Amino acid sequence: MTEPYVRLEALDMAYPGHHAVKSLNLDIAAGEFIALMGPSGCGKSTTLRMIAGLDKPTGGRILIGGRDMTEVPAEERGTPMVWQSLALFPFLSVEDNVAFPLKMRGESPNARRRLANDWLDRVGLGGMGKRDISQLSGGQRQRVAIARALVTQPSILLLDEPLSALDAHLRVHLQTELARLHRELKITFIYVTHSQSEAFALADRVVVMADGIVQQAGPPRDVYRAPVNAFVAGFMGMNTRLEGTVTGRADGMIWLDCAEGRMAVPDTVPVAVGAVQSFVIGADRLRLLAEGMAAPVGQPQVSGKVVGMEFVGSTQTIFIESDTGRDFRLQRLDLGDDATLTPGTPVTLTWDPRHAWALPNT
Amino acid sequence: MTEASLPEISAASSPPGGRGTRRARAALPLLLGLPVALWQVAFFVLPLAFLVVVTFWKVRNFRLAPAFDLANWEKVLTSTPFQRALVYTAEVALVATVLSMLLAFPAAHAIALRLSARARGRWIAFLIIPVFSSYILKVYAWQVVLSPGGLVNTGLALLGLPAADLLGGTLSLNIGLLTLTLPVVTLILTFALMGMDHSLIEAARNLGASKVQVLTQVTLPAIKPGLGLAGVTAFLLSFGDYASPVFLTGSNPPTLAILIVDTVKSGSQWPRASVIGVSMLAILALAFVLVQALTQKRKTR
Repeated sequence: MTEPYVRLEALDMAYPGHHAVKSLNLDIAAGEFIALMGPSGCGKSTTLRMIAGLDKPTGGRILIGGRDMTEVPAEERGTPMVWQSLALFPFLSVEDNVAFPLKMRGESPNARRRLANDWLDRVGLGGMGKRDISQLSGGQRQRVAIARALVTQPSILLLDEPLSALDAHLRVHLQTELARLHRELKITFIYVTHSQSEAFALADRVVVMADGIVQQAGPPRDVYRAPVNAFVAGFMGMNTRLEGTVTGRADGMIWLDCAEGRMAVPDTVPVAVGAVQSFVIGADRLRLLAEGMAAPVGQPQVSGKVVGMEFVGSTQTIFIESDTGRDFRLQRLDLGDDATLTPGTPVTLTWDPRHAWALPNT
Repeated sequence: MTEASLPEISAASSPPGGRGTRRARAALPLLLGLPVALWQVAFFVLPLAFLVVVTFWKVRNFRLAPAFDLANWEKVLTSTPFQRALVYTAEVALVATVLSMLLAFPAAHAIALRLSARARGRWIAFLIIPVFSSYILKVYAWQVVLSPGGLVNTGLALLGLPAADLLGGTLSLNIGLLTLTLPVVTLILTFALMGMDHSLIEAARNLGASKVQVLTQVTLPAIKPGLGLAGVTAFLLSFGDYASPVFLTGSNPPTLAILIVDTVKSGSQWPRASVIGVSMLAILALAFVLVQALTQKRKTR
């Protein structure tokens, strides 16, 4: 990477009784769209707030554009943020909301009006400048918040769960729009979200956080295909985790003796014969075998029973407990045969060993 | 019938019943509110109406006699003592309002936005308690403290300093009025600041607003209705106050409240006193409506 635009150096945030961010190091390139993701309380929002100067770190440094910003007050950083709550000023018109940062800078009323309306046009709210915030829909308000953050032509935009409060349809719509804005503006976007789909759809690079620590950072595809630990694997939907004793390696596969039988996983980690190795399988890689059918040659076969089922539109998630007591999570297209899969139904699972992923030993 | 009952079905979480029971259920909350409504009618609306009616009555042989006579209004409104008292009272109330707002805002800001939740609770309790203690008693205490032989002057004498003439001027009057208004105004502003969306302050800073700009461009506009209410309350309390002028300025110069009492005492001029009372109410109502209009939330068309 060339000289990073944003550099977080051993950034630390310790509240009394809660260590929110632990010595975080992260470089973000100019123009990069980066997504900080993780469950609530993982430290992603705190990190964003520290970049904006709204929270003062208890340790470490923040550099933006080569300048040490650690002690610079929020109002002088030029790091506008789009908030989940939007934080639009209810006592100002739409236009005055967008013009607010310009007014703070002392721009003339004419320049403010012109720039604000340019941006309102740009986010598809042309002609709505005189309206009250309360007269706008949720999606329109979100656009006002985005226009307000971008009106000063910043070189960085911070977004804190900006789409979480919107319904699914609008979310996808605005997601597309954010991607378009990023393409056109070519500035750095730092996007905090707990949603994997948002992060994957938008970001050049995702940073998975947990317990105030970066678990893994990389392009979405890499993180999704090659999680470095059980947490990231689980966060990416590879919730099924097995382990066994290594018996040997052959043809690019590691062979393991598991409670469920003999298993193979692609050989991607250094292991010694006799060591215990765990691996994960994506929920979308598991298959149910039809009754009486055997698994294809070379594929494992695990029997168990259905313990639960979740139905999400076109896909369904089936929770299965194996006879050995392990939890499997299987996701597949809705086949319309839910009726036969009531809890307690015995089932047999299989998967292609090439889709399993050995977790690096730490 | 089907169409008419549709919204009721969709909204009804209550068990099915006849229209009558449903209506009775809807009427119950109104019924429970009735005592207060009756109380207000009996002890506010009717006396007020009577007060207005009395302004047109006459006094004959120190007794009220019903009549319709505009003479009372003409006599009072054109009298110099009334006009002087009116200007003086408005002046005093305005000064007390401005003073209490200026003193209360920083305190309220600190309590609402700077303190921890626990400390905030304590300070609010600390502000509420004086509201419940007797105001007359406190004003009387001030009289003792400020009088020529009072606490302050005794202290000054002990230090060998000349006595200060504290009682009977604008200073003592405002001390008295602030005793009345300051806790209430601080409370109103505190609740207003606590009630505003605090993320607006962060958003403003994030968008480049300095501390002063946050205050003038975001915090104050966000609590505009609260500012209006606090101001009106301070004005209302000090405009109509009777205790402070009596105890701390010796009724000199007289305020409108004192003028009412004087008018009644000298010749049982109930109608004229009523004219002053109704005028005061009208002024207060006007102030209330005016501030309300100024601080209403922005509405476009």
